[in-house]
Amino acid sequence: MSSATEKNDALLQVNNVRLDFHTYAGEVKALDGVTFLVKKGEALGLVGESGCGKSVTALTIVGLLPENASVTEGEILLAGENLLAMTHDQIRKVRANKIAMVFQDPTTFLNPVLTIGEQLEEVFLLNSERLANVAAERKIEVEAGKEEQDTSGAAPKLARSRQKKVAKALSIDVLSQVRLADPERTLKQYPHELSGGMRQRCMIAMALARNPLLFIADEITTALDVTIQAQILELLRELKTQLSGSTLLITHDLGVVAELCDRVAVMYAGNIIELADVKELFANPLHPYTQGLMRAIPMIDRRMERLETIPGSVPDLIYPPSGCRFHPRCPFAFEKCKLEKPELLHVGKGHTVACHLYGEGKA
Amino acid sequence: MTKTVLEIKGLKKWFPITGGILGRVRGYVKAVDGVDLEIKEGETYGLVGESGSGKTTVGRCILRLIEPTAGEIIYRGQEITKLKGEAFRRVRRKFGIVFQDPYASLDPRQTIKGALTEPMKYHKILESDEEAVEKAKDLIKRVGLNEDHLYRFPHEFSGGQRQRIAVARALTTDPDVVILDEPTSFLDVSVQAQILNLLSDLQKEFNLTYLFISHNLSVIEHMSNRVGVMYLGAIMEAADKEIIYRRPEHPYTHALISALPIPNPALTRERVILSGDVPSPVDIPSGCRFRTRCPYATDYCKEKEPPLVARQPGHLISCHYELKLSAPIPLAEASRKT
Repeated sequence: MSSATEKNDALLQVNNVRLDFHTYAGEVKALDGVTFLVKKGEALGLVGESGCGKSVTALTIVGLLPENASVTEGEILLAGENLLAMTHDQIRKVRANKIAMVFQDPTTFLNPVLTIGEQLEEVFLLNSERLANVAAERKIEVEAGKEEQDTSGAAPKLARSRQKKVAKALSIDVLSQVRLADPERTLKQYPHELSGGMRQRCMIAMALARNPLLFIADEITTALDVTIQAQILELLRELKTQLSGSTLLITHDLGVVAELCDRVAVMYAGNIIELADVKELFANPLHPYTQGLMRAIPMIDRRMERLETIPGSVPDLIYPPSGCRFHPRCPFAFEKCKLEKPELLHVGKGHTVACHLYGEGKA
Repeated sequence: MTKTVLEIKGLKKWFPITGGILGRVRGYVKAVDGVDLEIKEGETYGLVGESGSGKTTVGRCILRLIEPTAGEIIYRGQEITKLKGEAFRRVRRKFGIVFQDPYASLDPRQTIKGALTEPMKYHKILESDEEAVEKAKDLIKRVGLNEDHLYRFPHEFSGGQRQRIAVARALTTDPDVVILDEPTSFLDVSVQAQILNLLSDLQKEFNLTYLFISHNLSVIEHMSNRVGVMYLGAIMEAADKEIIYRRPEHPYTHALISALPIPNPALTRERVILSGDVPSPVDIPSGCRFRTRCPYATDYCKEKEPPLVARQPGHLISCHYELKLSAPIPLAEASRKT
């Protein structure tokens, strides 16, 4: 395995991140050494059931963890820079320029008292240099007499009124990029006037506005109806071909993963337990949990009399099981699984799995 | 010929919208706007639709948890919408219901024993309390929990376990028909599979008829014998499951099935993507209610509402045109490992 070349085209590297939540009931060991990387230009899917740590992983990357969380180990490198070592202001700049995140419920993340235009233009107004460049390119002028004299001289800075005009033009661009039918009208509307699908498009527009290196989409279609979900998936598929950045798609829906992702990482109880190319993972799942998950979903393209189930339920992470965290539910568990945590192991091209069944010649 | 257990004719539920100081009725939310359906003995009828299509309201109207505005509900030959008091109580015990949210549907201050024995007492099914407790013990074991659980409170259970309790409660009155209103949408997939299997087992064991309401097309496909597709308060198409999923004739059904992401990256298929959003049920489009999003809509669709008619026996469609639609999912059984 040429892990050196893999590291070279990595955009984001998450290395052995451990994270605890302090609660009255005890320490919740939410992430237990999460390791994966996102390559340049790819879409990586992060799948798992609720409580497995997929959203926490995303929040750790963007530095938006709640107060009671603490990262005890590990590093997250974005183009070589460790995000976990950054100060509050530094990580804020990263969020402004390099990483954009869209969440499940657009209603809670849009400001209800500002119009879409006000919220979207704000994103552009933060970057005065870009505004100046765009203004020059497109020859956007303000009406004669309104132009204020730029006193600072050399720096390419536009007057406020002109900046706003440019920001508006850019907002319209980005809204039409997300296929909103009437961008000019949408700019003047408040979030409550839009439907769920339209709000989600606005959130995506805001994320794209910064042309991010990494776009994190956390369950963005979960709250939507099937036909609206199809529209958003289609949009993401289109944008994927246009954008240069990478995507980290977090979802519990294996269908969405199959449609959009290049590679998939499966999480269980705070660990990445399997990672492979999307086709490989669906054709040849190796980890007993991944296998169980795939047999547990009803699929309309094949007939099954009975669904297979994974016995039991997700463990309590205050007292996680010893060794492999899946062992109490695993049909193949043996002595070693209780004692030792399995490491992620390369088993084929680009396919890694954390399971004792595949170690030391047992594959 | 299997018997019809439940028949619904022209069911309507319009919720009034009031406004102003006088509280005058300004309009109606037409949640259910003329639904006909027929459920046969021992089958699972899947009712599928997007949010706001009125599927839950149909379920609640059957039990008269919501009083329907118009229409008939006929249970084994008896019209039940006008029944009152004791007469209705006798019919209602033949119905069970499982709600979507197991965190809201169980009383937090009542033990599981209380939750299971209360319906039996209310419907005077059993002579003594002891008998009721015995029956509760039996039911709790049938749903995969044990006797000790009877003395606990809902907060001590996980979502999947609570849903098992809700299923046990629905069975306390020895029902004939069970309405399952999104019973697994709050659960994770591994737990969902457990509940779906449990429901299939219980159906065989107790000879139950299910009305399975869900927005999840894969779950409906797995569970149902026949499927009705709802859009904006009306049924667009109803037929055997195989027809709905493989050879739909209504453009909405076709788009719905083709929009579903299938967990199989090797599958390539043509996708129909509907533009726009579902219109508001306050202001349902004239003529065919689907016409605003239908790729085949014509001027005629604006004028006249298509009736729900049987093209072939057992295949009902509400569309003016006989469209030739492609198969929304390729048959890929052979290419798949199970």
